[in-house]
Amino acid sequence: MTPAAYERLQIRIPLAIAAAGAWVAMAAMSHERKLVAFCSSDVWTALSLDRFALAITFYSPASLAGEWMLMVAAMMMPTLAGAMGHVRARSLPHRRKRSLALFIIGYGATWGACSIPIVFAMLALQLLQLSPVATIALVGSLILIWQFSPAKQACLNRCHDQPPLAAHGIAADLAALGYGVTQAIWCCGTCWALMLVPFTAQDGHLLAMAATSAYLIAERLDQPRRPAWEIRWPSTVARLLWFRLSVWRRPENTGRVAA
Amino acid sequence: MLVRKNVWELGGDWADPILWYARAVGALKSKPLADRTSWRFWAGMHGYDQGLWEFYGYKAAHEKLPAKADFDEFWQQCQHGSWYFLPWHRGYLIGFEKLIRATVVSLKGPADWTLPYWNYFKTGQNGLPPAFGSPDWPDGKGNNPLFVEQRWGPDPSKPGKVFVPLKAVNLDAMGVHEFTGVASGGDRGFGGIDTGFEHSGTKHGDIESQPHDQVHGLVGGEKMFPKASPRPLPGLMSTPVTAGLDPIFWLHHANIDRLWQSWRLSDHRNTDPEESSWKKGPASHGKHQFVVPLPDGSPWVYTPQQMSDFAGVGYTYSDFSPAGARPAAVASAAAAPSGAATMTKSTGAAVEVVGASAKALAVAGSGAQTSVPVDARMHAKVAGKMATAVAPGAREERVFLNLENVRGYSDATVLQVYVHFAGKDGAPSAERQVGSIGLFGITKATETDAGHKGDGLSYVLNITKPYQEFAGSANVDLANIGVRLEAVAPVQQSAEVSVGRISVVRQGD
Repeated sequence: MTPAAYERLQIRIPLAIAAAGAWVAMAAMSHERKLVAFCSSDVWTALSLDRFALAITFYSPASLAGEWMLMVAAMMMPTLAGAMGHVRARSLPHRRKRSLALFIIGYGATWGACSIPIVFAMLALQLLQLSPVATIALVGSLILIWQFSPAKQACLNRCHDQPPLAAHGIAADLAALGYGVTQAIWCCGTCWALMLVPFTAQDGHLLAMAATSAYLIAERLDQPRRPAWEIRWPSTVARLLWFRLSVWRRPENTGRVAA
Repeated sequence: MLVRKNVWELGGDWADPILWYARAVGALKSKPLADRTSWRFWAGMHGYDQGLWEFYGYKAAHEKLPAKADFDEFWQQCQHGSWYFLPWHRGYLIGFEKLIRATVVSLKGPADWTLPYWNYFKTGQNGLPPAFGSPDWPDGKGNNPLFVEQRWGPDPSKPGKVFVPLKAVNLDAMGVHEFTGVASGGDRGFGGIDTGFEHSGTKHGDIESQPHDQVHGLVGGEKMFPKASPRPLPGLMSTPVTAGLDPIFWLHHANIDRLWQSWRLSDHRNTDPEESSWKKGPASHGKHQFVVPLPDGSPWVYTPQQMSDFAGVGYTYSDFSPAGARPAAVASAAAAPSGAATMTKSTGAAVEVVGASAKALAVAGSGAQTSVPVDARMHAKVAGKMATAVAPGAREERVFLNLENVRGYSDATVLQVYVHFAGKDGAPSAERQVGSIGLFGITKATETDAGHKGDGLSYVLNITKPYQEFAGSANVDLANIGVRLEAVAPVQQSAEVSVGRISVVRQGD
């Protein structure tokens, strides 16, 4: 193993364990999970404060928030290896855990705030009382427009940011916290549209979440590119699959250079 | 066996190999941009910037680029800030040499033509080979294809006087025994850290950081064009997006390629990576494969594993001594034994921040300076380890100066780096030069949303020796280490060069 690969594993293994824990918890609680039910409840047949109060009675905001954060942890942890590796590498050894914790707090708090517009968007969709086909068409169009937009690419590019971080004193704390916040902002910008997919899938919600998560990870593997309106897909993963198939189909290119 | 020879020792300024090179370059320059065997197509394979190419007249505004399929397959491939830096450039040189040789033969020249190398380290050979500096052919007529107007050299007050100031370059990388290293602030290894396909990576390996980057900037230089830009514009060699347009580029890279094999021959510990992700290239992890066109235009796909087999690449060098100090002799073409290294690898080493500057440092004019606060506990740890003999099998304690998030718009800038230890209680201060950094590629690394991360470049300089010299001294203040950056040529304010953070990092057990 190369020295840099070893360093990456120091971050990736704990993140993978944390993400796996979150996925297991999501699966174990699947019959108790309220967030999707809340967004697709029958109470949203018309906009009224009474109905909102009724819904909140059945669905505690605390449990909804907890479920949201669990979902964020499961889906986003695997994408944080670069940023958290950066925090670890730039911190004094005795401050590493503290800086990483502050990064997570900033990141989590921002994703928590991001939940409000996403959940309200889903509620707005319910209020429209569309047929399933119309719902899929509307959400699908929204996702495609955002996915192929320059704004989405700009957000995705910034997910790779690794800015200077202060190492000493309160400045180091603020830097780690601030980096977590900004990373989450770009991450929300990158992911919000695709996060609608699991919410619209009432049956097979967990499967839709897993597929969305895999797509979000695959997107991050691509190099930053100039933002533009264009059809994009995770080309690195596509190339990787093609390479594996090529190796299986034909001999490897190890011959000597022809004179 | 074809032998690449020292350009200064071919038997004259316009010895036959240079004359044929010039004729072939002239023939390739006359071909259309989109032709896979044209001069400009090959330069675009290294890098491309529409604005600079058009401003310098290498592309007309109406001229078509290669078709999208060719552009995507061949162009903008150069590997920087990656452990693929050396093998990608070796394949690029092999393909280029084949093309020039085929062109030389088509012009009734010798079939054994080889690309010369420029060993600027050899005594008296740090000047630009004369044939490249003359606008005329040897018969006095103009239009020498080896001459490039946008090659301004290291001194802006004497544009066109091109040489490599020896105080700004060194061969320290040759003393590093690992090909690949850590990415977190310690040694990055002779060949660079393991990455995927990195067209503009931010963390250059040791031989790339020194002397490769510096020679690019010192030869290319930069110049102000007030009507075109408030910022200085780079000479062709100074930036990856135009470097391949300059005929001297290929001789510089032949020297870097020579140093790779020289490194392998110099010590049994110096071996290429054994990891399949290196051998098979970036295609093995879903990235772009390495491919260049052959003289007939057909694509040639190559891997680092092929490039590592020096006995199989079809050429050798006339001299493998890095600085050309020893008598010239053709060394064995056989590679050094691989996989037999018996040293403590960096894998698993502790890499820890010892101290870091509090804010960004702007660099303009003759340079800049700052101080790096050092954590007392970390200094005590380093000093303690340095004072103790290294146990068998243990890692040596090493200390590095990191210049992180270096951003700006001056690819030609080269900064000499000094560390400064302030005296205490009337004792004299001390300063030591610890190397230099070349900002080759910084513009692209600074631009956000141009297909790059925008975080700038980061550099690592080994400061173990001066740190050890003063680590136990009671006469200097080790709570703060001074860092002074001295520009080889004045840095324009408009270039907005800055260092985001400077840190001291230890690497050891």
